[in-house]
Amino acid sequence: MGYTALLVFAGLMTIPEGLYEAGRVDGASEWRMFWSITLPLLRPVLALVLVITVTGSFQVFDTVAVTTSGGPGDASRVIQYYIFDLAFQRLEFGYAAAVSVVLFAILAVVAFVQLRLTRANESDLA
Amino acid sequence: MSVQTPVEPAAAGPARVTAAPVQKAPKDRRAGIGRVVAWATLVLIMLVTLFPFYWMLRTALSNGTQLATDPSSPLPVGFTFGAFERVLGLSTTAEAQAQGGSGAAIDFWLYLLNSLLVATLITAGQVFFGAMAAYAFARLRWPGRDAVFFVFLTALMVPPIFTQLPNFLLMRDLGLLNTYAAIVLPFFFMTPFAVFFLRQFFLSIPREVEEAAVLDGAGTVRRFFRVIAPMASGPLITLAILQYIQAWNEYFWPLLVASDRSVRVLTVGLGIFRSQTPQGTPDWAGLMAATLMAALPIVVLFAVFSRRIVDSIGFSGIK
Repeated sequence: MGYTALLVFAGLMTIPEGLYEAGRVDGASEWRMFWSITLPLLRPVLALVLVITVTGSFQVFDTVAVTTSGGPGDASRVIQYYIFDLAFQRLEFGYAAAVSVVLFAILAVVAFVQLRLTRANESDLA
Repeated sequence: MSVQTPVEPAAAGPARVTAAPVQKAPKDRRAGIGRVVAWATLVLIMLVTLFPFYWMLRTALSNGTQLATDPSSPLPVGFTFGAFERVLGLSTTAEAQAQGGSGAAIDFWLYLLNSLLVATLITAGQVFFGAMAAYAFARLRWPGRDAVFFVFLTALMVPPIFTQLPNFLLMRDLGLLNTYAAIVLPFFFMTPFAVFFLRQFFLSIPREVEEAAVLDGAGTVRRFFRVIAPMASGPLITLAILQYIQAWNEYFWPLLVASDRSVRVLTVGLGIFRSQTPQGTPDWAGLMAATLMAALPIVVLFAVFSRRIVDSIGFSGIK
């Protein structure tokens, strides 16, 4: 959380104060300014945070490996742990590698959609 | 629209100074129950965050042999600075063993120097090269730019651990094992994260500023160093802090390629210190003392530089 907060904080710093002054002169409420100034101008940074955290979440491994080893049953098994289990416990390296490639493809598609939906290639400030 | 070069931020300064009190006044008047709740929540979160550090300090100041007799005591058990002394090699082997140490010391200053050198090199390289790549992806026009950027981004989807074995073989074949170069090189040029991060910020820099620089006859290199880099000083400092912390805490890679004493970094030194105990139970007090001292430079760095991020507020250079 601290990591993401720092990223968003840096993003907030790039929004010119003048825009908020203009908003205040026009009688906009704090809430309104958040929706109409902060969020849209923070979009490129929020896209970054979105992609980084989503791909990061798919790579959770150590916490699960150390605490529950995927148990009880399959209740807390994550995809990376499944790949590890396939490769190094059941020694099905080919299958494990195939799962990794599929995971890679899925993550790439997810990231692509995220970048498109958030229009991450442009900024309203520029 | 009038455009001014970002080299003169003073022109934008006075407007902000007068604006600050105006912004504060209405907020302070609303100091009601909401504010109290907000502060209480923040204090609570801070306590939860800081408690592990307090526990490290409490353990570090304890006497190692007495620690197990009162494991839940909120205060140091048998208060002593012995743990710090034996980590720095100031106490004799007999004194150290009397307090639960192994008699082994950490060559603290050497490892500290190694860590500083490695982390500084990695950070400098990443920010410099990452910024240049990000500029190319954000502002230069060339065919297939966004497609190439996306392919570059997919490197984020490969868990870092997968790249360590090939990198190790590469370092070994280059004959670089147990050198600073081996620790630094895989991180020196750029990471997808650094490039992605900076690109998103460069996108927000007003085009007008750069167009003005073009009219004044500035080439690409000049625009990058004189316009883009100064205007993005906040994000650049943020990235530098993040990468420095990451480089500082990197454990597995330096352990793999540089476990030799002369190039050992602090994290690896700590790991070896922990494994040097003869009878199984680690010297917890000594380990915590060493960990605290290893974390201190980062805390100082963060305290100094987070101020700089705030100082670079709203550096848009445009009116």
